[in-house]
Amino acid sequence: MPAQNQSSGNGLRLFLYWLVVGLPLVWGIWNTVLKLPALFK
Amino acid sequence: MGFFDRENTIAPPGYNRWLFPPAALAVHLSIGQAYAFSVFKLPLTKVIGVTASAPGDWTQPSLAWIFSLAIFFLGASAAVFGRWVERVGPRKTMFAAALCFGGGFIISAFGVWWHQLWIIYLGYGVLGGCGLGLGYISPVSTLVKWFPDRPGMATGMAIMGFGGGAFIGSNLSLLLMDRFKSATSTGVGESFVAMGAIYFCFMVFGSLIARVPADDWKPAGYQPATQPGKLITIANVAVDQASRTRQFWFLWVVLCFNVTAGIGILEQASPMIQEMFPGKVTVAAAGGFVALLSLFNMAGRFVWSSLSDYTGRKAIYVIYLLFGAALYCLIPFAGYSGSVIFFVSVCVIILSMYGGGFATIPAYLKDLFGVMQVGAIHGRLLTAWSVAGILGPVLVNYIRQYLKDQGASGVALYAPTMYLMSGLLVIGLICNLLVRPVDERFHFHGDKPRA
Repeated sequence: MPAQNQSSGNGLRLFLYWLVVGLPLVWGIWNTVLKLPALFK
Repeated sequence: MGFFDRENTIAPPGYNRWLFPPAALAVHLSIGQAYAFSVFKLPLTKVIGVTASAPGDWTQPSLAWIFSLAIFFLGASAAVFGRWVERVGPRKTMFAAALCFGGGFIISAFGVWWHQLWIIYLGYGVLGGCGLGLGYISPVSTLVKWFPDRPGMATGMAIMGFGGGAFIGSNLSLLLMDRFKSATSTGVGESFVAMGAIYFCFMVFGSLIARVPADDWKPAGYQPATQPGKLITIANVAVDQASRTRQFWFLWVVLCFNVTAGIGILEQASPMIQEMFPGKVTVAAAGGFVALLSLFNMAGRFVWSSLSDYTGRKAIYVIYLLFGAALYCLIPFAGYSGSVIFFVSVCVIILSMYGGGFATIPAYLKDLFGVMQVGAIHGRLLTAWSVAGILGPVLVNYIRQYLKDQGASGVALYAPTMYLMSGLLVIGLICNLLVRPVDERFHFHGDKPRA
């Protein structure tokens, strides 16, 4: 595989892999952050 | 040569090392659900009565054993299977962890439907606990090999996932129980099945994308040290030799007491803030406090562990333990002062360092024992977590109950425990200060075995 193709393939995989693990984490953190205002009332 | 064999997972030249952390995170974000298991406790006490506990329903103390068993088997399986994990590599280990953790949920679902608690003990506690242990150590040595220049940051990132997994686990559990509950069911059994399937798929995703670096691979521009640093070895120590060194047992005590102290607060966070500030903190506010602690626990894992790459491991543990000991003594003072903000500020810093203590340990072990079997050594050290998982809650609960029986209330219910935790951290500090480089007689000489 030419170096340029391999590099762009790596970039796309990098984005997809991090998206797959990042989305649930952000969802979980966001739902937790929503509970915080009660502490500061 | 099978698809899951280590030899089949060696990364080709040009492979981007940042493709591996998502594999580690997929596993740790899944098994971090264990921190959120308490969400199921109340519904599990109403399996027969559905809307309220009925005669024959399980009690909270009997259900508490599920989590305790899981944490015990986390440490035990990490210790027993550590060498196997090093030999077969991350892909096979992550797949085995997925089978155990996902399977544990499915078996537990039958325990709920047939109302047999021992099946849940066996499912989530024993099998799921083994999944926790295998999953926890599966990416550690591979991360250290991919990031020899930043081992603290790399392992901190994965272990941060374990903290973050609690957020996903708690919200997902509530969502699923809400979806499956009916007039005749709390929805816990169905939720267990769904969670088993979801977590199995997510962990298998991690397993499939896991790659190990070739033996001669190193990051661009990175020059491995040719001379040992003050506390960073260039030699390797095999796992059986490591557990015979004083350094291993000093770090065992450090981890055990750091976790004992942290769990002591985490476990009692909600009742503690309400009892220390009666009339000032509502149940909802206490829920917000627990959420804030969890956020700092997670963030501390990445931030403190990354910082340790610059400060050195011993120095950062001096901060965790010395500063931590001082902060524990400040908790009663904050309670007596009546300042909720002061109290919350002290607690969040403590919890960030609790997480940091967890996340920095693999890099500390790598510094002292080399990278050869660091995952297996880490596995054995996790038995400290098993002990702390019982010691922390027991200390806080029993001392509080004893003081309550003596007529104490408010801050006085917790002050002695906080001073005790501070003392434990001081013992940990002394152990950390006693850590010296591992004697040469323990070093491994010969070709690198993987187990």
